[in-house]
Amino acid sequence: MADGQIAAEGRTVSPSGDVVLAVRDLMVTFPTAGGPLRAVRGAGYTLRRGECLGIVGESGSGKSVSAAAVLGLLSKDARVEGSVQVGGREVLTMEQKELQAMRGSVVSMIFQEPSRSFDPIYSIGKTFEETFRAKDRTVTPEESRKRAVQLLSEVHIPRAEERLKNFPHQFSGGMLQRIMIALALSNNPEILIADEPTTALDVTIQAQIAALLRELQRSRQLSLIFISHDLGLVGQVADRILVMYGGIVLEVGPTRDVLTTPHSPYTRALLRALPAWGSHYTREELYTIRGNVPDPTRPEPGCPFAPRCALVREECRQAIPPLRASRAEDGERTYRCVVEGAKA
Amino acid sequence: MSGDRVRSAPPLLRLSEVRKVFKLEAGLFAAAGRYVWAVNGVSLDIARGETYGLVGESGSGKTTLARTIVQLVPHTAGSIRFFPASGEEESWEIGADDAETLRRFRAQVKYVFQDPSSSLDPRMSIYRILTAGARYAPGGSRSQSLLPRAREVIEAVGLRESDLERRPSEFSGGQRQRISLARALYGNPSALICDEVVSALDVSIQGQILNLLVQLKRQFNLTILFIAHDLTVVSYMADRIGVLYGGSLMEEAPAASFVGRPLHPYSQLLYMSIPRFDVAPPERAANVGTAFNATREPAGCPFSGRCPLVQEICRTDKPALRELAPGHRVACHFVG
Repeated sequence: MADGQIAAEGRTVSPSGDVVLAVRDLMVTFPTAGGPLRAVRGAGYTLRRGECLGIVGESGSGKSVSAAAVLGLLSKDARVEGSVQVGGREVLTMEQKELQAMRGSVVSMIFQEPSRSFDPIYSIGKTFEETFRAKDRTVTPEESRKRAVQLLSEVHIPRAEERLKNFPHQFSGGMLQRIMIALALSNNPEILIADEPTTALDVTIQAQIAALLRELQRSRQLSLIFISHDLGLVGQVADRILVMYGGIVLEVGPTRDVLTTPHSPYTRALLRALPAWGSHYTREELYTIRGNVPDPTRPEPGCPFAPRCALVREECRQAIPPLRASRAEDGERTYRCVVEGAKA
Repeated sequence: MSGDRVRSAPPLLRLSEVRKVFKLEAGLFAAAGRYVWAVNGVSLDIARGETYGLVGESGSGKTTLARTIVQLVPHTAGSIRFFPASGEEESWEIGADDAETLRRFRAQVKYVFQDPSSSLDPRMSIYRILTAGARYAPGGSRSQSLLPRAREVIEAVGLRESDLERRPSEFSGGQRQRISLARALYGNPSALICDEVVSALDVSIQGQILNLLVQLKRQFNLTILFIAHDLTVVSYMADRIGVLYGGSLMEEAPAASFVGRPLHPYSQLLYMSIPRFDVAPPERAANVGTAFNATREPAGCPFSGRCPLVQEICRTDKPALRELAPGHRVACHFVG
């Protein structure tokens, strides 16, 4: 996976050609009544063919906005700077037509609440048909049915043939998310972005969806971006993890490495803040991160985590820490922290 | 009913065979005579001073059960008893038809909701929110005399006296949940029902609120019914744990016993589904069968549609809770 050199965050398409998505110096600002809201203040990453990149962050971290930018889904009044390259082509300057051609067939996306993503008056079969037709007007109902059945079997919907006649309300949340995934795959995209795909689901169903995405990633050689606030879940499905906070990427690296030896104090604090199985209030207090999540309309000039960081130094408050790189056994790591090694 | 209990702590609340059936409205497209069997005969004691953790997925009936306790939703059958003093001599039967008892009971048991942004009136100052109950109570006192208690509870939840003049919109999600707790504590209740109080909060804020709850429990000698879908959080917070599925209690145990070994097949599935980065997700475990359908009259074990141990008897006979270890009871025909 690593090509022997320590890469800068968000490098452009690498010589080995395995990078399908490259985001560089992405900044997204929304105008609001309370002043400009700086949702993303500097995000960069690459996605390689066939890998699963997990993006972890709390609410307001910019994780969803930075993914929506990849599909050109941001509202018109958003100011977007930087570069997003899909297959070597710049997305941020694309015309509407090009964007539409890319969506679904190169990059596809699934969202948090599957029940809200379906039109309740269309049967599942009709929804598939419409999705196929959006790319190819010549698709016949018969072809559409065949392809839909195959896709539904791929996401393990039993009795797919019969269920095409059903309407969204006749499915459970977990089933609908499976169908959503099938729809997202219907025009054979290379990249699938899953934005909190299990957050509205029960934990037992969440495990199924996580396993399904993993399976599809392998069987289809999909490049997957898995966005979640749940560090444990992302750790379970992702090959590499990217940690965002306050609109900035604080850390990127191989999953196991980031979670066992985090370089960013934020990642470490987040890991410690999760109650461990077997811990009990009578024996230990939960580790807490002081303070509140940052207000994106009033970003700090320095590291967004500085006001809450236990290791904070004066320089942390001055400017966003520069990108640093280190190597792990299974690949490269980058992080933004000036505290040496951030080991404390 | 409590004779087999190892714990001898006196109960504060006793639910016996509590049931709740909702009748669905008939409509233009909906047939009449449809029901939702939300809670199907739950019996449990909540001991004075303990934190009872109730865990369950959506549709398990955990919120409905909690709401029947304070009669936000009157129960259909069964009994809910409150023991106002330490000991079992005096008890109050809680029901919708005894308004006076219910009023006194609701002063003792306070409900804290999941989403603080929708349960705090945005137009009211924090002071007015905290004292609303006292101001409107019969014989309610004048505003001035309410200030000392308001100051006391707002400081107990980690906010400042000056915050009393502000409005909910000026606070973050975590701070609003602190305000909800302060409001619940204002009348000096003996118990709190905390319904998913941290699930709307970010991980980095969640710990602050959980620690605060523990601290408040000690400071005000509270009994807590702690309801959540997150098994790890419940097992951290609770002295005893009850696992609810399909409106029935599947397992009940002291926290240490449960954490050491969840026994019911459903509890085990829940446990295996906790995402852990060092463990691969269970590929097949939860993938079989059909979930409990609350719109059909329940028969047998609610988990029988998904259970790996299922036998014919599970579909027809509902298993009773059996004690398999001290205080550790499991509703399963086959485990143990």
